[in-house]
Amino acid sequence: MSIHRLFLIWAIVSCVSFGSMPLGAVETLEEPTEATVRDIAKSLRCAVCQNQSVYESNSDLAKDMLSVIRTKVAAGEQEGAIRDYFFQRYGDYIYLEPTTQGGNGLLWWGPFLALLLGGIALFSALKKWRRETPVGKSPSMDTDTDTKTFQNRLKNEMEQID
Amino acid sequence: MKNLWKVILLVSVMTILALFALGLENDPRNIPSPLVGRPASPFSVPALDDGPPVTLESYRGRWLLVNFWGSWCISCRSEHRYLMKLARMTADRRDFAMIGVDFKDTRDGGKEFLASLGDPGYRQAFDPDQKIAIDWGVYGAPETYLVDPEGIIRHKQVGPLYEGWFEKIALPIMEKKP
Amino acid sequence: MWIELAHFATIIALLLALLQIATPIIGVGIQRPVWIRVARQSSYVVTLLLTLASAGLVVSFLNHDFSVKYVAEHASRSLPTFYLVTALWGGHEGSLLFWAWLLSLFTTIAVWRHWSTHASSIPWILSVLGTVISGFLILVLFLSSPFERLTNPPFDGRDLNPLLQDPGMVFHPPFLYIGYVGFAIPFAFAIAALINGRITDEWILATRRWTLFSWAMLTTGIIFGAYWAYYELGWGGYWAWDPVENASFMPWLVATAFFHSVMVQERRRMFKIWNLFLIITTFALSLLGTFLVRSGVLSSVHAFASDPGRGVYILIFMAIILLFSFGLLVLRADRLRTEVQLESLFSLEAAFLFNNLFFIIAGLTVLLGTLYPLAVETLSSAKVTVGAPYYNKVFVPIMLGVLILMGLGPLLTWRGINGSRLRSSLVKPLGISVLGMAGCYLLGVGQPYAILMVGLSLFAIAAHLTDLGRGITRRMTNAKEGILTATVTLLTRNKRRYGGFVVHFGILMMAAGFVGSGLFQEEKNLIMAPGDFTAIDHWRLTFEKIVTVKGSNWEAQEAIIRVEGPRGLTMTLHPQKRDYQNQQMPTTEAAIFSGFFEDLYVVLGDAVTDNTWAFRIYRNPLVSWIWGGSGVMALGVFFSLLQGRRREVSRQ
Repeated sequence: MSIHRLFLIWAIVSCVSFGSMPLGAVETLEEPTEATVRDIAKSLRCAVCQNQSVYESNSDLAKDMLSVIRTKVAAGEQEGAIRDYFFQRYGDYIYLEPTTQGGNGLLWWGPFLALLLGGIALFSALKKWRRETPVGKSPSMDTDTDTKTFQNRLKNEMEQID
Repeated sequence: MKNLWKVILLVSVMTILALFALGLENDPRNIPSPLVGRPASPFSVPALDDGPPVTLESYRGRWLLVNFWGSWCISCRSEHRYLMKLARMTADRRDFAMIGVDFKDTRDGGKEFLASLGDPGYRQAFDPDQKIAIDWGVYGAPETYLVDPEGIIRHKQVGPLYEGWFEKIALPIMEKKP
Repeated sequence: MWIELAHFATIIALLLALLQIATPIIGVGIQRPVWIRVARQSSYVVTLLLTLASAGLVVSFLNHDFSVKYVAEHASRSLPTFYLVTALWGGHEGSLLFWAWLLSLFTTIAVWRHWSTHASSIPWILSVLGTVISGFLILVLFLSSPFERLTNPPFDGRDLNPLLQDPGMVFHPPFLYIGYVGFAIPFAFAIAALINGRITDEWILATRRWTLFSWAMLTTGIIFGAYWAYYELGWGGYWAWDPVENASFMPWLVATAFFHSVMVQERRRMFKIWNLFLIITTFALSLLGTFLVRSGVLSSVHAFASDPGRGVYILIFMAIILLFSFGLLVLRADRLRTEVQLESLFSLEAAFLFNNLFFIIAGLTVLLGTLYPLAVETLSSAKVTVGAPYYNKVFVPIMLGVLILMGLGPLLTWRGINGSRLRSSLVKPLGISVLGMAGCYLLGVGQPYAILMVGLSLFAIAAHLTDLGRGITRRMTNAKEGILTATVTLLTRNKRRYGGFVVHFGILMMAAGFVGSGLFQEEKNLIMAPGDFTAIDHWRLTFEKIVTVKGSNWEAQEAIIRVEGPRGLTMTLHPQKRDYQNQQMPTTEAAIFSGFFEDLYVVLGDAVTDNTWAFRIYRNPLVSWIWGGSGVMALGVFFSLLQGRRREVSRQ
């Protein structure tokens, strides 16, 4: 279902139902600043919790940190400045997303570098194996199995597959 | 080259084990404060005992011990006796003062705590929604800061102060920087 | 009384487990099978004794015997009977006993099933599993005993952590443990193969169903955990990349790599060392998971009870197992080396190797993210946090590579496919994928990630269906069968392959769920008084009132919310805020409407004034696809497992 259609349905539904509301009832809206508050709170770690964000945690400290964020957003402070406020007090620890500075580069680039190097190594190994495999000759089954029954069983099994 | 993977495998297994061995000694609750060496955030808030507001600025020119506590905090009880003793001990030092910040607490809770365990005599700020605590980068109670005469934070103690803490930790810092 | 019996049974079990380590080694040394038989009998008795021990602990719970410390800490008089039983694994000590009991049970089954078929491996299997059981029993008996008595028993217990008083929590740990423990069996087979040094593929065949079974259990356990987090923790999500979640996810990733690459060994007899490495790593990571959770070395929301003192022991135990098994692998590697024969780069063999590369790197990424804070703290005494945003940015792109390979899989064949055939079979899936992406774009989906995921998923589905269609038509023409018979015979003749297809479909469904809920979640945070209403997308919610509700050991504030949805749908939601006796923190019980396309998720927050309350309202698209997809996966695994069983019946 497309977003547009959903919106259309929503619009119709809301027109119909809102029309039948008693006079005076007004939809409760989210405070316009709340989205910014949420963005900030979700990027900060609740300092006493373990790997939960300020936004998601139920702890008292998280709730109070949330209200500090709310006050600051309401006072018109910039998102970056508010994040920085917490960073100065709690250090790197407070950011759920580690910074890209210094040794943290390992964290951010390590996996992709490993993927790249691994990919290159694997690809060249594959090419090497490909070169070393004689063409046309049907590959011999290894005979490193210890018993006859096992071989039969294996054969049986292979027939079952495919 | 052919056996490189063996070396890598064993080295990485041992690295991880070594990391755990070293990591076992870390205390997950012990988080270094980036505030050490920075100016303490000023505050002026109502006192716990309905007296005049407690203002950080007014302690300028003296070393100041700021102790964050709450009546809900169990280790604060064990620490309290030492705080009383420390307050008595340093009462005649002109260059040293103490204040407490009772945070995330009710006024009655804080007062009752002092009534039952004894009032060390220094001023207590009251911070019910932990605004100061957050401003000072506090995680929980008890936490204690040592602020120098210029208002710079020189040390942070996470967890309760203990017998002999002042001589062992605070004095050397205070003497290094007259 | 019961607890002493349990304690005593565990002590005897430990002695017998030690016997189980030693006798097979002696038996093999002096060539006397009777010694190995002794080990077999002791493994059976260990199982009986540990069953007794677990039962003793459960009975103590049922009797409200608060003089037992473990019972006093994890139960109370008002705790429902159901949770009294499950409290067995509600805490650290009990769950270790439970772990050991499961392992003994599996050992018994493995020994009983493979005794005559794998005579040369059995002694080593007994020894290895005996070692692991002893390791856990020593921990249970000496370092974290659930059998300890209190000198001054309290009248009532401290109660089970309210978060754990949830049906989800009943299933999450057992399944996870069954998964972890299950990998011990293939691990033991692998070690036996290494010790024997005889380069057989026997262990692969013997342990295939063990691996698949354990993998399925681990998957189920992880999903239950996610489900529990979603329903119980009340933050609108299901996966937080918490270290403990990661701990269960790492063995899953490596195990997944394993039973893809194991197919190469079965078909082509290659990569034996690699497969041994993978299975050892899987089990090592299972142990690591236990270590991370139990030693307190990493902090996490799950670390309800952690104690560094035990950490030292677990570390030593883990070091012995890891160094022994990886060391053995390194020592034996040269003897086990096999020649690789690869006819083409466009072959299943090559694709499986790339699959392995991606899964291993994915696993390493999770490991890196989990251990990095520990490393930084240890080496520089600074503290960093590696949270969910990191994994979303680094881990997710790696998994996209896996999706591509998943789509390529059915198009490739063993030994390779020639270029023109590959190109022609690529046309349809690629076309469908491109059309799908264009469609998404035109329908107004702005997120590039979402469009890409739709494209990759469609590609994979189309590739699988093309292969299925090709198989069916081949049967129809060759065997002159009707379409239905052809489909049924095709599927049942090769249950493992098509079971795998079903698992892939399940994964794709889940992927849709992840994208939907991850990228298109909508949320609102607002304050309402009774009578107020609000809207989120096409849902209209009216907050009617707050009532007080009582349970057996809790009291809750419950909001009554009338919801009007699309197409005249109406319902009432009851989000709660619960206060449990004996507990300080209130818990939130989210009210959730689960629909096919989206969930409506309402959380009651604190009272703001006497008459107004905070609410969090989420609209989570496609979340039920995650749970549905995991069900489909389970079906696929079950279908694959059927294959082995039938063969065995026919052999008898």
